[in-house]
Amino acid sequence: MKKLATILMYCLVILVVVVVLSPKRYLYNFVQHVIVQENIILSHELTKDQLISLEVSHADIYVKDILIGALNKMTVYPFMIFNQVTCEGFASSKEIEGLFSTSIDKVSLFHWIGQPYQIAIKAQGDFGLADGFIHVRDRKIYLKIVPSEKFIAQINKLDNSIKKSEGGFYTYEYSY
Amino acid sequence: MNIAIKQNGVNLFLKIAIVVVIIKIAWIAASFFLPKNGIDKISFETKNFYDKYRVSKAFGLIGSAVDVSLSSDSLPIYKLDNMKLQGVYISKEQSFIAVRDGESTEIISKKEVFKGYLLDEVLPLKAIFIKDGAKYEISLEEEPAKQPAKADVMGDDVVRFVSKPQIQKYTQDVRNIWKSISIDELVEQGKLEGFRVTKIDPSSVFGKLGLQVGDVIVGANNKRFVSYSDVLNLYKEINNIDNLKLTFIRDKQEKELEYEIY
Repeated sequence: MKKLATILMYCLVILVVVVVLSPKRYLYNFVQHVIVQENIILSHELTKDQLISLEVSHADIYVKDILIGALNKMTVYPFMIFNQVTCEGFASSKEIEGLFSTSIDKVSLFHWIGQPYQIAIKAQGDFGLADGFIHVRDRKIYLKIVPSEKFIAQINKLDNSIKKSEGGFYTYEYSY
Repeated sequence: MNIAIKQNGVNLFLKIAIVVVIIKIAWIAASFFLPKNGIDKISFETKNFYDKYRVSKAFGLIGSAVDVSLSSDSLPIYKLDNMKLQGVYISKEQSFIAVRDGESTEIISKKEVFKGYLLDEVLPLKAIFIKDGAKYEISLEEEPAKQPAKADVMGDDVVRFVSKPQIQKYTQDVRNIWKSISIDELVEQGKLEGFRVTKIDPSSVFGKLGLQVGDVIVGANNKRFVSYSDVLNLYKEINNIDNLKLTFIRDKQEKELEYEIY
């Protein structure tokens, strides 16, 4: 038992050292190069290396060349066994005014090695609440949305990927 | 005893130091394979020409024999009661109207003078004359909804008509678009080449616009779609524009369809 505790202790120490010494900015750059292939760009952002996290602020988010909004703050926790990204303060841009406009208070993305192909998502904003996942291998996004009145008022500006389900919530399924 | 504890502490410190050094070296090595810079979007100004394009200019029908001062929008418009508009024909080459004047029907071309009235504009549902510094209009008696169908049966070289309410029906509820038409983006070597029509409901407005399954829409109003922003700009301006020219590829040939939005 004591030996097991010692091994766990060593593992924890190694993990902490790995996280603390990791070149978080370079890893973030690597992720940017991956997501740009899906036509997503985080631009003009400021990055700040913290001890166990990377703080990204004032990022403009482009999807398929279109500025969809600005993100005030994003914190990336690259804990290797589990990774978390927390985004705060997203506001949609004027460019998509007339389409669906929203502000999102908080989005959390969570990934752990037990489910390597799945990234859990939780979000809340003036659209309501969303809970779901991205399946990286199947290239699918699934969200269950508890809508706000603002969301329902703008539902006709969204495509058929959003469907109303029984129980008053909406589902969003998208293959990319 | 103390010496033994100190020895253990030193050993532990050394072990941790070795782990730290190994991990640091590993990360430094990994850094050589990681990108040093992120990706920023390079913005460039794309001027939106959608609201400036006029199909009439493309026909070359403006600017020859027209007194600019007379064609001013500020001129007062009166109704002409002594003539009845019976038909309208608009094409690239020429536009003319059929007018019932008493017992006889006259065909008048654009810019032709009839009984002292200069035929200034031929629109889908009406014609505008100018006489003595004032504008006079006569309107078709048919219901507006019937007019586009008339245009649809003409050849590909004609201007087709789409009413603004029809457009608004789609812009106000985007879901109506996807019920009528499906398009897939066509990306080659990472570059947007256009949008391929994969499904179209022939009974919908889109079906009557002249598009067919397999067409690849590559631009609008003399502007190529080089980014998704171009399409978004067109979508945002669609309620404000009067003329639209779609450029598309069908059977490996580039073709155009022109629309008057009235």
